[in-house]
Amino acid sequence: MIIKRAIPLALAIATGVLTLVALLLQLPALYTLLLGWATFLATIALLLGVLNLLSVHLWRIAYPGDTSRFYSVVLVLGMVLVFAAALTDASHLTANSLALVFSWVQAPLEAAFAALLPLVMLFSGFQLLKRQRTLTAVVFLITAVFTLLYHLLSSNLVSQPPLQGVLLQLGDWLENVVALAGMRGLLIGIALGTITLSIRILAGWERPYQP
Amino acid sequence: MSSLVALGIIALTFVLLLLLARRLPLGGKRPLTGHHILKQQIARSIESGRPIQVNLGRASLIAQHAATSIAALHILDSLVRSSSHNAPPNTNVGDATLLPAAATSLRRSSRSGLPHFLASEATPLAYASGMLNEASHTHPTALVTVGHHGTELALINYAGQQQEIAHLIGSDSPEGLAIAMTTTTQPFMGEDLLAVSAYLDEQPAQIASLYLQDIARWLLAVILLLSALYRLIT
Repeated sequence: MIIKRAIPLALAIATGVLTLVALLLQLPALYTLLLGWATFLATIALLLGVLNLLSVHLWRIAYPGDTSRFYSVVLVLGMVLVFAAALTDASHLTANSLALVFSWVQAPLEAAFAALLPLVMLFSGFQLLKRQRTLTAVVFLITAVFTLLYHLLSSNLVSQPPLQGVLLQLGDWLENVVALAGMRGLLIGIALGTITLSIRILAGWERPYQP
Repeated sequence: MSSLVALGIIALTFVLLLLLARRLPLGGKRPLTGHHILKQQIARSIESGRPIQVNLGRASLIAQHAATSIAALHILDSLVRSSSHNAPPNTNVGDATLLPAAATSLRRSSRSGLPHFLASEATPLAYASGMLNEASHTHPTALVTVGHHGTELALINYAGQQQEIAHLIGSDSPEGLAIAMTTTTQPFMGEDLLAVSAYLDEQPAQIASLYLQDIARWLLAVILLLSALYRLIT
């Protein structure tokens, strides 16, 4: 039992310390080797992931239970089609068909989702205000409405209203001072948290590799 | 030279942590409300006999946001331990490197299950759509969305609202946290998520590291304020 616990712990600490020392003391041969191993394992994991996705949905097509098998059929067909496109591209039967799939399906869907997001946020703000009438909820909703108006004004899509200059200045200040300061505060906290978590793992006080 | 300084700082931090771990009381941590909500959801899942859906995010274990994924895996491990005689959590991952780690955690449950890989790191929309499908397929008691999640949280949250179930969110992405603030009462905000493992395990060294982190944060805040004041005066 002790060996079962001690060997992974010793290996993990040794690998972590070696990588840290190699990165800090600029020993490219060592850290390239260690990171190369990690990248290779990640590639194998991706292959396993794709097989996992395929097996889960083939299972759902075969045994749908009380839910529809429609999405699973679409997913499996999509996987087969994209794989076929990659094969025909590789054997020079077609040119750029894989890129076409991404630019005609993936990219427009992602863009449409991104465009929808401000409205989703605004709607969520209203929901939040209905659920709990706190100062945070009110501030959030006012800021969300104001930011949408600010972007509409700065896009020159509408005629210039009175006080446009003041509104734009206020919007700039909100985005570049208030929002940026908050974001930096969050990122500093995350950086500190990451450092302490890394130290805990390097010291063996936390063992994600040993549940 | 700077490398040696960095190594020296890390060594000094180790020593400080060891000293703090021996002296600190265990119960003196600042409260983390999301931690209590997590415990409530576990209890509710055990009572109802229905599983929780855990979404572990899109950060690879060998890339920039690895720490967030490690923290998310720790939460999954704790959920599996708590529901060891119950249905194991339905687990979804958005990066393939999380798949073997999540499978190892789930193997501890008496009714073992496998995690589901939904999409690769680069396709947040596909990941969110997969998660919506999973939620409608399995009818969980609660959604626990922890790890690196960005704007796709808006869609994931829709699943929670549709099924009228509690949704606990923890992320390190500012965009994701902005959405989380409008949907849940107490999200794990960035560093809170990274500290959850210490709250769940309560080892003295882990608690000491949180104290050290708080001290470092205050020091940084004072330095930033003083430098801003200096710039204002000069």
